[in-house]
Amino acid sequence: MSAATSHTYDRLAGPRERIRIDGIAKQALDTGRVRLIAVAAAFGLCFVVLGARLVDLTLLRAGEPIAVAPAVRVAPLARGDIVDRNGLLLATNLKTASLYAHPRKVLDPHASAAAIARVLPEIDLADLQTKLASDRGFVWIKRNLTPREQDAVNRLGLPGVGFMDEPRRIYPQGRLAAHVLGYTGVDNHGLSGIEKGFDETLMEGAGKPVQLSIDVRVQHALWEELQAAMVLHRAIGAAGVVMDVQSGELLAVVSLPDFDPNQINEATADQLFNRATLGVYEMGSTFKAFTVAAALEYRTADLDRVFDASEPIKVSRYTIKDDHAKNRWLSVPEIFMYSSNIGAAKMALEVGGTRQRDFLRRLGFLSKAPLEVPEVGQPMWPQPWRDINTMTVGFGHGIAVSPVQIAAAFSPLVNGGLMVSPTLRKRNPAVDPPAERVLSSETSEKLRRLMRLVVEKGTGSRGAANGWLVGGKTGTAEKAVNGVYKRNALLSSFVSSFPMTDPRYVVIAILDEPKGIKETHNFATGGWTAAPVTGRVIARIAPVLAVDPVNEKSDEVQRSMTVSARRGRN
Amino acid sequence: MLRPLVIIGVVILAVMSFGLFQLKYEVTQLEEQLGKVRTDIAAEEESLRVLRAEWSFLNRPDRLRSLADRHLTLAVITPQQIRSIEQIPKRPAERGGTP
Repeated sequence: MSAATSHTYDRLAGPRERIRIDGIAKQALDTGRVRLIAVAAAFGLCFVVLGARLVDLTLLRAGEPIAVAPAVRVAPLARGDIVDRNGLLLATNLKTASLYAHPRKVLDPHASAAAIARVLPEIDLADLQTKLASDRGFVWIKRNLTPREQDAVNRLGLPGVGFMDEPRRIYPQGRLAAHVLGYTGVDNHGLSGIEKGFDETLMEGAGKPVQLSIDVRVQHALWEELQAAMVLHRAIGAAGVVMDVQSGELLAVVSLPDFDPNQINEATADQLFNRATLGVYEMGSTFKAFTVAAALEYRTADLDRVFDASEPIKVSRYTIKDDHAKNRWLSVPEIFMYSSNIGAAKMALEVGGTRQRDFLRRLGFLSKAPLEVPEVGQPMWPQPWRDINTMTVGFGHGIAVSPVQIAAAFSPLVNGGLMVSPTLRKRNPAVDPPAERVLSSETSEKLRRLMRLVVEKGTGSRGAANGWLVGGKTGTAEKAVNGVYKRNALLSSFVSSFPMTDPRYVVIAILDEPKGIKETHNFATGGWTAAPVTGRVIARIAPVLAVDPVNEKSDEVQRSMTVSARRGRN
Repeated sequence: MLRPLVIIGVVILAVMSFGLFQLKYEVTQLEEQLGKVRTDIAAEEESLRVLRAEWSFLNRPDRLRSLADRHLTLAVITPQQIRSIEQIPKRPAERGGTP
């Protein structure tokens, strides 16, 4: 230490011992030294700056929150969820394993194919063998395996095959509400129903789910009762709708036969067809409710008006007659109660074709229903609209509409006259739904009494649900096949609403070609086949939907529901 | 004149490089942690989805109905079983107005 110090000292203190260099050599050396110092100073400055920054960041600012760019979130592969009005999951995305192979790495294509085909029986063996023996770099063997299948393939321990996670659409409720939900394709895009109607929203990913107006409990009650009736009457199809008459929300939409959206490949075209929204049907007598409403609204008839229904009407080559002819004059309530075609035709004629068509347009029958699914049927009506058409439309023939349209058009008849558009999305209960007045509240009030009369004393008595004050209208239409009405192919329906003192819901049941059975005395009409369905559905859903029961026998209710159904002259 | 500067420089260099590498390792570690937490979150979210799907699956009305049929003696509520609050008579003590 001391030696080093003295040496330094000596060196510094002994300029005399230095070698002196003069001339050009000295100049060059000086220049070199100056340059060296300049460069060293520049580098030194840089290091000082870096060092200062390092000290600043590590020691002085330690623990301070550091502003970083928001983490880039990988766009979620998952498609958005669909839930019912109570938040129960109806459609979601789950990760499933898909099986692939690198054929070049597969050792024994034939044995491997045979082993895979043994654990995945639905795979075509010959096809798989060609796939594995090919010279391709990558082939899919099977998409979306169940965990059990994945485990089975894993146990084979085959080289050259592997799994890849892929999202798959799952419908936990199975076939319930299948037509409303629709389904998606392999690329995860919606192909029908809500899946297609809200495809863009759903593709944005798993943010806020799409909430439907459907209530799974109501949907199931309607589904089960319709299914039972379809089996009982050997019908080829059925459809049903439950709609909130104040908001237009569809609580249940059923179309039978239906399909399981989880196994879409097995569904037939008939199963995929949505009878409730896409199918358009001549509804028959249920349309008399609109005829009576139009007559009351345009004041061409009042409840005490009587019409001559003593004999069939003959117009050119058509004859309009009654199924259960009373062969006498009938009052308006009687025409409605006994479902007289003659009376309804005459009533419609008094309203007139122009006003009738205008009235039906306001009820939404002359345009597609404004629904959120792509499967919406185009209604059909007579063109040109002659007097004979006015008469047939008066009792529901010559005009074909979808069941959802019927539900929507019945709401103003019972809710005080406001037309609300049907919707499959849950509405905000705090906001009044957009509604258009199409009827006076007096007309609506009269219609309520008439519909109650049908269930109390008329063709719809089997649609009663004791305590819920059901009202409704039956309908039985002969189906037109190739332009000819078939007597034995019926479309039987019942449109009901409850409770009639202050209707909350419309319930519709339609059976396609039901057959009469012993219990119904071989009748297959709406009153015998469809009415019991709505009656049972109402008894099941009314307590669930917190509807107050009505004491049907009380004086107050009796008074509010009376109709002067005076008998017409003979 | 030069020697202490060099020593100081070397010391600073050593401290700084130690600090720098220490920081680098800390950051790497934090990033690893973050990656793991993100993976965990994704896994948790996925299992949440599975559980929600299962909840909905187990709440299928037909399943609940068959379970209820097997284990409960309940039937659909009839209108006679529903009463509004006004229809319930008050307790005798309350009628007098004194508790």
